[in-house]
Parts: sequence; structure tokens; C-alpha cells
Amino acid sequence: MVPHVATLAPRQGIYVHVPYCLSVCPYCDFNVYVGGASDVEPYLDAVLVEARARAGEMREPSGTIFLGGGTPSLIAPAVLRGFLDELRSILPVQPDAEITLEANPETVSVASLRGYRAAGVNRLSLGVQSFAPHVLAALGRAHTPAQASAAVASARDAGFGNVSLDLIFGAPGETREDWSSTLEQAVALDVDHVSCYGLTIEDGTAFGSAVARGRMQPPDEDDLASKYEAACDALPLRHYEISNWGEPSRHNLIYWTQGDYLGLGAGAHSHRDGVRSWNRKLPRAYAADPAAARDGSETLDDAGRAREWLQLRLRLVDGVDLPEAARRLGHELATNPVERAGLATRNGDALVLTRRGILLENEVVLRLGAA
Amino acid sequence: MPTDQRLQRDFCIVAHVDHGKSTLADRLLEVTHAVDDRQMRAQYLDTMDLERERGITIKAAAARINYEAKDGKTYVLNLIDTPGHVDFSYEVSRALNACDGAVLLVDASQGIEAQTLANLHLAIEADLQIIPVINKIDLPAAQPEKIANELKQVIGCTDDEIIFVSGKTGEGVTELLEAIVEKVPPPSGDPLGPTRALIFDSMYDSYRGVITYVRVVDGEIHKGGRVRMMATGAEHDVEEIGFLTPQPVPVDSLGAGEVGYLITGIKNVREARVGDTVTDARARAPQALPGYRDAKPMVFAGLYPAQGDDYPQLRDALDRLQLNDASLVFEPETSKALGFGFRCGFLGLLHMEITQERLEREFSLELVVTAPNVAYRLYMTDGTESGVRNPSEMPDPSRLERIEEPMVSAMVLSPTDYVGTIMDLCMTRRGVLDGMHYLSTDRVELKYRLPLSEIIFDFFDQLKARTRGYASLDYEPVGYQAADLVRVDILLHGDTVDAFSAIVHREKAQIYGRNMVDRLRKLIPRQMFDVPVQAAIGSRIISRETIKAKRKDVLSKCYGGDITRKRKLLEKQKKGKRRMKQIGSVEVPQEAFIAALQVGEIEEPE
Repeated sequence: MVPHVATLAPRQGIYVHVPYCLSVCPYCDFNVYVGGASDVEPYLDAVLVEARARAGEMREPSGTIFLGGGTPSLIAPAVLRGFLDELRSILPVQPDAEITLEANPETVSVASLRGYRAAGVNRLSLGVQSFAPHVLAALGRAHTPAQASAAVASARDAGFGNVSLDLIFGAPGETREDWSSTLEQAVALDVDHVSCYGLTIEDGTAFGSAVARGRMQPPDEDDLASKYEAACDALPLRHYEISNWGEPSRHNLIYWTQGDYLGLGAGAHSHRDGVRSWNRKLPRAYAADPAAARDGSETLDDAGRAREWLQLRLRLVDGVDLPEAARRLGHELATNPVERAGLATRNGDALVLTRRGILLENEVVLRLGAA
Repeated sequence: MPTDQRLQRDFCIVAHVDHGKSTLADRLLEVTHAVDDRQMRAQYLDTMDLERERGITIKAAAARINYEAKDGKTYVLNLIDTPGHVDFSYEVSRALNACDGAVLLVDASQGIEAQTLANLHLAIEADLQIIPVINKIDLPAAQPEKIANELKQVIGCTDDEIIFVSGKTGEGVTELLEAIVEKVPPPSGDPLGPTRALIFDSMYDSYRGVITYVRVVDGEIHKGGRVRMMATGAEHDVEEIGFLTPQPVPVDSLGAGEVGYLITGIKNVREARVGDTVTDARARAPQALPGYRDAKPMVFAGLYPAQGDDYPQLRDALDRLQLNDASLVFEPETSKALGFGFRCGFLGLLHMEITQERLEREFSLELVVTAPNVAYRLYMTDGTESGVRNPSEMPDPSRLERIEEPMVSAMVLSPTDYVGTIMDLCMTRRGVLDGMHYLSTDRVELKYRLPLSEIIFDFFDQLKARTRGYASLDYEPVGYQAADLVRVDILLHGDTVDAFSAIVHREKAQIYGRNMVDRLRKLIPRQMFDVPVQAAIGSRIISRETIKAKRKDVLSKCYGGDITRKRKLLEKQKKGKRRMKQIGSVEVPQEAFIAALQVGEIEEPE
């Protein structure tokens, strides 16, 4: 029997936020700003200052380092190598740690990828989003489908054994056929991991204001549902989390299992033993005093922490261990309202979402009283 | 010592809403120094904020003016203010009955309007001397000659009887005052007879209790005396009596022909009804003054607190409003869809809107108001009769012999260009043309007999829209009439939503049903299962749509470990769920309910 995916999660991780992109995509509401390599280098120095100041927060050696963004592949390989070496000298990191770099296909080459590999990066997450040219254009992406395929090949050439693709479905103008074809091409590239996210319209983005002004239709619920189901049917990889397939991302598993992570950089989020905190968002404000970057925090009480555990655990396809849920919540979980509605079923001691339940996960959380 | 009747003139001003009545009244007070300049503020006679904002007078008041006329004598002019809207025509008629003359005030650019014409008819019925006045002659768009011709046509006066004024500049105001002295007859009551005073208005003051506005017709009222309300039988001691300048000035007595206020310790306006006669409790008049009747509510709606917890506050607020509003009635009712609330009766739509607005503004209540309806009379097959004020109470059609609905006689005044479109509108509202009369070559009066239920929705808005705002409307109830009416129910997932039931004409049932079903389909969010939305007459489904089951939530990415955001989103959804109204197994957001109940969006048949 395959052990529950949660058992693969390390207890400690490190996240480094790189808040720069060459241009900001119209759907993106992450903490990103227009910037290039010249902005990144001084910024990384600030991150190291923060790391030194916060080294004491780590309770054990980290099992992961995740460089997210933004566009972390704006960092030159040699610079990254220096940065990671320094980071590992400041913070304890396990020798076999999963070290992920997010990269945009148009910013990498075999040479740069070799450099990243040599710097210690062992997992590459490519922001491919789609293989349909008009969908890439609608999403404001700068790369072509060919560049995306080439990036995967280059990663293999450079020795990456763990390559992941990010895909987005439901973009304006994307047909069901566009999405099927995107899935087929992703499968054909034989990557180790795929993340699929439905397009969401967020306030403060170009899409957000276009929808608010009636210039753009928000994604259609039925279209999104059908495309999600198409992904479930098409991907020959282990579906281990609502939006993720393949060799599980150990770093993301830390999030879903309430593990500890030290979030470094502008706007980065951290978690340590029930205390969630976040840094100042503006890179300039952050860099002014990186040792005192914390902008806010919240501490969950035991009940809140138990409900959050349940919320997160529901995202994992292996499901919720009901005896453990009862222990954490202090009472048996009333599963009848979700089972009766066909949203979840029992699998031994586990409560597992059905496909319909996965699509209606918020409803499941609300019905289980976990909100 | 009461004023000699020969030196008194009791008059009112009959005018359309924005034809400048309040401004002219201000000017009269100013010219005669009834109000200190220091206290002078625009539109003195309107005391409620709401009136000031809406530019309408909903509470009549009065002002006593001393005027030294050109004949050297000082006259007491009592100006009685009249409410200016169709919903309050009974109050208008009482105020008119307290006068001997009426200033007919018409805007020099707008001409005479339906409301004014209706009130003019009331004034003529009450035998008042009419003084035609054309106002706003200072405006660039003024057409005084044209309007003068209209007036001549309507009241049969001559050119030199018409007075031209500007309430804004004060031009013509002295001439008007002279005309009032010359033409309005002095009061003709019996100063020595048994006391009779007409209540033409009343208001509730939280310190003094009910303040009653009266015109003494015969005899006198004394401070410290005991008075009796002849219709209600209530007896009270006169705590204070006085006249209004318009500030209250206490006096020892009010004599025949005098207009003033009366404070007796009455705590509820219901005990001092407009139209009732005040007499001396110890020397009662044998007969009351004519014309009293109960103000009957014509329009009904369910008022529910948006938050169920606010029910006691809503009850207290309605109690408080009722202290000051004898025509507001309410009784508790329970709706499956909306919970506990009240079925309220109003004189008309405006009265309903004002009440709703006051509840929201003065009592900070958030309300859900059902679509307004009228009171129906039911004649059952077993020979019994009953009334229905709430559509959901209508019994099974098989037990009904017939239904009668209230009718109104409506008067529309409009430029002749719009006659066609007005006729179309009245026809779709089941109106029957009763007569047509040209006021001038380009203005026409249309008389229609219409079901009241057809004008309480968006009739007035439609009329204004179709005539670019030029038409005006007035109506009065003219009894009941049988009609082919049916109850249309709206069902959500098989459960009747009582708040959406409506009584409509059989021919319009299909349109009403389709409209509501379509509207609800758009407003109600998708549920966990398919939800049929149906309109039905009895067990017969006349329209049906399906709200397809929800397939997908918005799944947010826990990006970069920001778990807090996702959790807050879920907490927000949980709060939203608590605000949902549960109709059977269907969750309906409050907003959808309110939107579905909005009137004025019922589409006309093509």
C-alpha cells in the first residue's frame, strides 16, 4: 500500500520570493513588480540579511528550498550559486533537500539550466500555462509553445530529473480543444509533475478591471469544471492534490500539512508552530530593513488550527484520516452532509473527496464545519 | 379677546409640487414680518427634513399673518398649508374645508397640472373663493399669457382677475395680499354658538404629545376647558391653545374663524383624527361638522427586517411612526420565506415609500419590502365574504365565486402630443376611458377608470417616461369591481415562496410568471442540485426554468504558503451562508430576494 502523500512532507522548508518579472501578466495578483537582473542582485543581498536575522526561527534543518516569484530565472546562474551557497551557510539545509526554481521558458537555455543545476537546483518548475499560441497571447505570456517544449528538453539535457509544468485553463478564447491539446502536449513531454489551475479573476489585476468594466467575460463555471475534469482524465500521473499531479512537490506538501517554513523576501509568508506571519510587500520597503521585514502575523488557537488542518488535508487526494481528524478537532467529524451529497466517500478510515467534491471543495469545507 | 371675524381671512394655496408654493408662502410671511428675518429659512412651512428633501409637504401646518391693508385696517390672514400629493387627498380636502378662499398657484412655464386640477375641484366643491395666480414670471421660460388662457378656460375667470407674481423676487405679492383681503369672504360661523372646530391636521411631538391643528368654526375654545372629539368620543382638558406665526404663540382662547393649535395630552394621533370636530365637552354641539371619514389604507405590503433579530426594533419603530401617522396600519404576519414581519397598509405608494424611508433613516433598519398589493374582496361559493390583503392568503379558486378589486378614477393632464402613448399605457393597464377634455389647443385632460393594482406598480414612472415628464396624474378611489383575477405562485424546487405570490389578471398571469421565473433564475446562485423555478396558477405550471446545479467552486491556489488568505476567503463564504434565506432546501441570498421584489421592472407585453 502506498503511504499517504502527507508522510512525504518534510517538517521544515524555506521559501525565497523573487518579486520581479520583465512584464506583469494581466491575470497575476502575486506580489510582483516589473524588474530585471539588475534589480535582483541587490535584492538577494537583502534576503541574505533577513536569513541571518531569522536563522534562529528554524527548528530543524530544512528539507526544501523553493525559489518562487515573480521570475526567479532572472537570476544569473552564477549569482544563484553564490546566493544558495551563502544561504546554506546561514541556514541548516538537509543534503538531499528538494531545491526548486521557478522559470519562464523564454528565459532559460541549456547553458543557464546547467548553471542552475550546478548551483544545486534539482527541481525545475516551468511556467508554461498553455500550448495554444492565442491563449498564451491572451494571458500576456512572452513565450511560444515551441519555447516551452524546448525548455523541457533543455532541462533534461542539463540533467534535471524532476521537471514540472504549470498550466492554466479557462483563459479568454481558450476552447475545450485548445485545452485538450495543451494537456496532450504536456503528457507527450513526459514531465515528472504538472500543476493545473483554473483562471481566477482577481481584483487589482488587468483582468480584474476588464471584468469590472464589462470589457471581459469572467471564466464560465461549466467550462472550468469540464476542463478540470479533462485534466483528471488526460494526465497519466499520480493525482495527489486538487491541482497537482505527478511526483509530489515536497515543498508544497509542507504547506498542506501545516509544516514550518521560513519565507524570505518581500511579501513572503512564513509558518512556525501555529503562527503565520508575512513580510512587507514592497521590495523597496523590504530592502530598507530586511532584518525587520515582518509586517504582520496571526496565531491560531487549537480549534482554528484543527479546522485549518482539515481544510488543507481535504486538498490531498489521499484524504482525511478520520481518527486523526477526531483527535485534532476534539469530536467526530460529521461526514454525513458531504457523503449524502456525493461530495466525499469513505475509504477505510479516510474521507476522500469524489471528483465532484474536488470541484466543490469550498462547499465540502463549509459543510464539514471546517471554515 | 377673539379677533373680529370681519377682519379675518382663512385661505390656502393650491399648487403642484414644484410650482413654488413654499417659496410664495415664505414671501408672504416675510412681507408681513410674520417671521423674523433671522429665523427666515427657505420653505418655512415644511418642518420635516424628508419633506424638505423631497420638496413635498406631507404635514399641513398653518401661519397667522397680520396685514395692514390699503383700506387702513389690519387683517388677520390665516394661511393653511395643504399637502400636495395624491395619497393625501383626504387631508387636502379637510384643509380646504378649513378655508374660505384658495390661491390657485400655477407655474408660468409649466401650466396647470393634474394634481392642482384635482385639488382645485376639491376647493370648488368646498365653495372656496378662487384667486388665480401665475407664479415664476421672472423665469426666462415663462409664458404668462398662454398659462392665463389655460386658467381662463379651466375656472372661467377674466384676465384682470389673474395675479402675476414671483415668489423669488417678491413681485406681485402685495397685490396678492390685497386680493385675499378683498375677495376671500370672512369666516361665517356663529361666534356665540356651541363650539365646533375642525381638525385639519395633527402631529405627534415627543415632549408635548399630540398637537392638533384646528380651525374654530363656531364658538370658542378656552385654555383650561374640556373638549371632546366628536367622532372618537375622546375627552381631554385643554392644556395649551395658541396660534402659529408659524411659531406657536399661546393664547387664552381661539374664537370663531381663528386657526391655531391645541394641546390636550392626547398621546396618539388616532384619537385626534383629521376631519373630526372638536366641541366643548360640557356644552356639546348637537351635530359635528360634515365630511369626516376614516382614512382607509389602499396599498399593502409586507415589511420584514433584513436581519431577523431586528423584528422587535421594527415593531417599536412602527409603533412610533403610528403615533404621528393615523393612516398607517400594520399587523404582524409570518412568511415562510422572510420570517416575522408586518403587513402594513398605506394610503398610496408615496405614503409607503415615505414610511419605508423613515424606518430606514430614522430607525436605521434594513428592510425587505414585498411588492405592494391592494385589498381584494372575495365572495365565496358558500355565500360568505372576506377580504385579502396578502396574496398568499387567497383561498383555492374552486371556493371562490368572484373577486372584486378596488378601482380608481384617474386624471391625466398632458400635452396633446402624448395622448396616443398615454392611451396605450392605460389600455395595457386595463383602463377604460371615461372622458377627454381639452384645456387649451395643446393640453388635454384624460379621465380613466383603472384598477388600483395596475397603478401601484410603475404606472407613474411609465407615464413620466412616455411623456418626457410632462404628464401629471391624480386619482381617487371609486369603489370595487369584479375582475378575472388569479393568484400566481412562484415555486422554488417545488416549494411555494409566499413572498412572491401575486394576484394578477388572468391575461397577465403568464407574463408575470415568466418574468419572475426568469428574474429568479438569474438572481439565485447555483445550488448543489438542479433547482426548478416555476410559476403556477393553482396546480397548473405556467412557466418553468431550471437553475443548473453548481459544478465548481473557485479554487484558490495556496500560493507561496499564503494559507491565511484562503482561510479568510472560506470564513467570508461562511458568513455569506449565514445571511442566506433558506427556502426549503434552496439557499437564496438576501440581495436576490430584494432584487426580485423590486417593482418597476415588470416588462410590458410586446
